[in-house]
Amino acid sequence: MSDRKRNRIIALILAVICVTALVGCGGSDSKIDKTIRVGVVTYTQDDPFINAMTDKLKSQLKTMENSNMKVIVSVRNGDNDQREQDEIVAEMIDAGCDVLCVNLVDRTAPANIIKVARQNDIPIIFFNREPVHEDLEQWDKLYYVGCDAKESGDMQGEIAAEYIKNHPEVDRNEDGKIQYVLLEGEAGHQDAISRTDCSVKTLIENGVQLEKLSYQFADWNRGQAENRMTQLISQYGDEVELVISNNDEMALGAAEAYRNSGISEDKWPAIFGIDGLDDALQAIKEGTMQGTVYNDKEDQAGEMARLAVDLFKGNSLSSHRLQDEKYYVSPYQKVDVDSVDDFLHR
Amino acid sequence: MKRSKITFLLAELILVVFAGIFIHQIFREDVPEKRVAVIIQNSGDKRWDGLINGLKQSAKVNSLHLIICNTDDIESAQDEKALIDEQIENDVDAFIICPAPGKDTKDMLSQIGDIPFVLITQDVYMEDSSSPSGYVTIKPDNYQIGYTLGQQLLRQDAGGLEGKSVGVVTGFADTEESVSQKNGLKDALDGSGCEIRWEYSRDGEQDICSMVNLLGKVDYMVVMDTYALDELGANAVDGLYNGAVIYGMGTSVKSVALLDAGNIACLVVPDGYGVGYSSVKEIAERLDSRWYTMQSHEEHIKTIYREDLFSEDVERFLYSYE
Repeated sequence: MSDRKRNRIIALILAVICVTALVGCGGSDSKIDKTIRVGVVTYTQDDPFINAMTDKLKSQLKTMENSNMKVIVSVRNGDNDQREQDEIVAEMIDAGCDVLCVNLVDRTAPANIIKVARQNDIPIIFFNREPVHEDLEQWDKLYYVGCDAKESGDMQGEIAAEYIKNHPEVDRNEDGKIQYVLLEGEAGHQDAISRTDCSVKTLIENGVQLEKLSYQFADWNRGQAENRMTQLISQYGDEVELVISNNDEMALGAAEAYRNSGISEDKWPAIFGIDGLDDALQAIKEGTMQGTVYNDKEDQAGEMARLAVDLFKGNSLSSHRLQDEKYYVSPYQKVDVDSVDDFLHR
Repeated sequence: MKRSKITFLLAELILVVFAGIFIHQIFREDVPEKRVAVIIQNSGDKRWDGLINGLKQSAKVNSLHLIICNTDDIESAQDEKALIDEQIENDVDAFIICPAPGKDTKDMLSQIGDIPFVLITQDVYMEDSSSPSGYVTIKPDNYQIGYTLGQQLLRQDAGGLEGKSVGVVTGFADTEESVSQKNGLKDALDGSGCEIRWEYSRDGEQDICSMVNLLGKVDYMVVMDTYALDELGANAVDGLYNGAVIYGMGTSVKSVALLDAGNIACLVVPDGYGVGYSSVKEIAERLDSRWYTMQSHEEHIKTIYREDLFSEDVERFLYSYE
């Protein structure tokens, strides 16, 4: 065989190898052309804050769709029953799921969910209700996105204290003490305990003298809070000067109870919530509520969406500013009548 | 001697029969459950509660493994095909499918091949709405839903509908469900003297309230889409949304609660539980026997007013949502 002929054969072989390699690369490109299926499971369908956050998460994920990646977001809820939520997670995994976002019914009972996800190698991003640290340490593909409940309590106490200082008329009976009632989420719920303790502690630290008239559990729910507040109004009349609520839904329930009570508006108490729901922001603008603490659902939804996609693609998580490589803590923000316009219709 | 031989043979025969029965039982228990994939859009949505309860209950009775696919909006045949292909790769034995909007869905479904499937809640969309697709379909009579709502409008307005205006909201435009419901409503209102001032087909999860506000005021709104009904009903004040009395078709507990609260005047509820239960039953029979021919049929609908809510009949019907 002449050298020229041999060179031609070698060139031909090289060309075939190059083409094969290119086709191979094309194949791996087409593997990028995938669908990410994100399963979102909330604790209930009746929590407006969680629903708003889920909507944001869905829209954030949809904005990340491109020609190489389709996003399917399936949202279900646990109907306030941990066993049902466990079953739903198992069903979602069975049907095919790449990343799970779970808002636990019972923050102390994620064991079954973690077990089934781990068996199927599906990462979980817990949100809003923080599992205990030991549970989150069980596996390296468990994450938490949420806020620090203590911070929200501190901020609620600070805005309430500031409001009372600037509005001495809150102390209607002028006894130097603020008669207040607490509307709490759930008995024994860590966030409810932290928010309540920190809020009251901060008020006292800021020199506000308090007298607790009553506390009621209203399950984070507007309707239940309205009922509880109606009972309190029938018991205390217009004696209540301050309502501290663990969330906006219950604060709005309290405002509704006063609206229906026939008590004139100048004798309504100052009402403070947490979350920054649209209805609550509107109530602050109208003067039926005096303040809230903004739980930044846009920031948290954005982080969850980015985290879900990076986990799916196997990207590095170094850009996520995760504490202990697991926790994303979103900062709260204070909202009162002066700042409410910055938060409305975000 | 001869007699004892016969007794011995009989005893042997009985033992062989018993052994056969036991072996059959053992192998029968070892047979894995057949897998049925369910494809409905936004599978976590509360409007499917009754349907999913029916599916699950029937799957349990018929020893089938149900896979309720994780879905969001299914806006085209292409979206649905991707989900079907994924489940074919997942080796499912059958499908229960709510057909995607659009005229391409019929052809897309024909590509499923030998895997049996049943359509639920509606037939596929055909440009000629009078001819059915020929696929096995278990659904409510969608024409009757529209017709019933029209009849209820006529019945409730003592002064007649002469000169009154009506706005109509449906789900996706290119679906058998929306077309049949609208046809039924129009037939019922034909000759009543009322004017259908506007029609609106919801397309995805847009803000239905602002869309309806743009369309202008009417005396009555007939809303034949659960999502839209729940949104408009929730924003109704003193039983009126933007001045209109709401009549609607809904399949969620929220729709029933809104009826109870007086935000909706009249509710037509299709038997979602029945649709779910029957569809799994048909599939189970087909999977048991290759020769079984699956049958289409229509489940009943119920008209409910606020005062009927606590009647035994309605309570039993609504129990399927629990």
